[in-house]
Amino acid sequence: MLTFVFSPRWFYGVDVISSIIALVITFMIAGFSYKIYRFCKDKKYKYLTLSFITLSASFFFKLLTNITVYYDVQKLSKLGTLILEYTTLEGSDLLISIGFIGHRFLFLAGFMGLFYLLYKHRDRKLLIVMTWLILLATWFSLRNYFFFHATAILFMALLFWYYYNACKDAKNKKKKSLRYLMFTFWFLGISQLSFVFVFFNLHMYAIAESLQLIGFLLLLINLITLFGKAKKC
Amino acid sequence: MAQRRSRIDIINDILEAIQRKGGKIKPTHLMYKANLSHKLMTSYLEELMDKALVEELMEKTNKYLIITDDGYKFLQKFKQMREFQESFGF
Repeated sequence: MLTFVFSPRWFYGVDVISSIIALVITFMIAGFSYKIYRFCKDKKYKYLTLSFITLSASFFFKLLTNITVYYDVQKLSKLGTLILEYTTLEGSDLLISIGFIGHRFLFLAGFMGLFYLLYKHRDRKLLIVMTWLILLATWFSLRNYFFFHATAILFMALLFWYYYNACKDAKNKKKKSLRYLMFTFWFLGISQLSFVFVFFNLHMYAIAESLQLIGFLLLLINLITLFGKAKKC
Repeated sequence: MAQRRSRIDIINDILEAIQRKGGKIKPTHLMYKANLSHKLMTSYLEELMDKALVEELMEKTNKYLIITDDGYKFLQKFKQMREFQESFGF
């Protein structure tokens, strides 16, 4: 039986929950951002919506691979008078490949979009170069997963650095939410680093997924705080 | 040097100026409170009245501008937008 799982057995299914949570959180942020875009028609919010929708889609693709890999397919085959029942992953290889490529490309694209939005010196040429970079990273990650995680670490580090500087410059009122975002990207960056070491120890997968979940939960806390403030207005 | 206000910032300043005066203000007072030229204020007021965010009221010989319920909703949405902007560091 083919196995593409890099997860310890006791963690089977748990990363599905983590992906669902990340999908929901990113979708919520995309929704709120779209609402703001409809109000002010500022293109910044349209691109922010796109970035978070892309991230949501990446977790959807991840779910496809997780669910496909974890669950066996029972098949029945008739050979004359014999009826064979067997377990196989036949037919799901395509789904796994699509899921892997989809997840990796969209994950990088989402964070690339976010970084591009926040970066002061925006230029179309930079966008083209970064898109090419993530295409290459996705392609090479099919041979070696390291390429995907290394590229993701780069984006997380850049975003962490942006929010770290923003925290330094911000007044007290803004600092709290910026600090949540700074730690969000800190945890997401460390989780990507942990994924790199999965090859050496399967338990690193569980650690990496948990760190990623913490990162997204911090994003959720920031969003809940925002909803709370928005209701008071 | 202060940043140039966007269209939506100016609309917010106009509506906030009216709100701060208890929901009713004279056009001349609005011009000073919202820091607008007469020409600019007139063009924005036309737009706000078209969108029913502001209404005109005549009291004896005085003309007043009143913020509507839609105008209050606009102010709420604008604050939400600002909170979102601050939360995400834009």
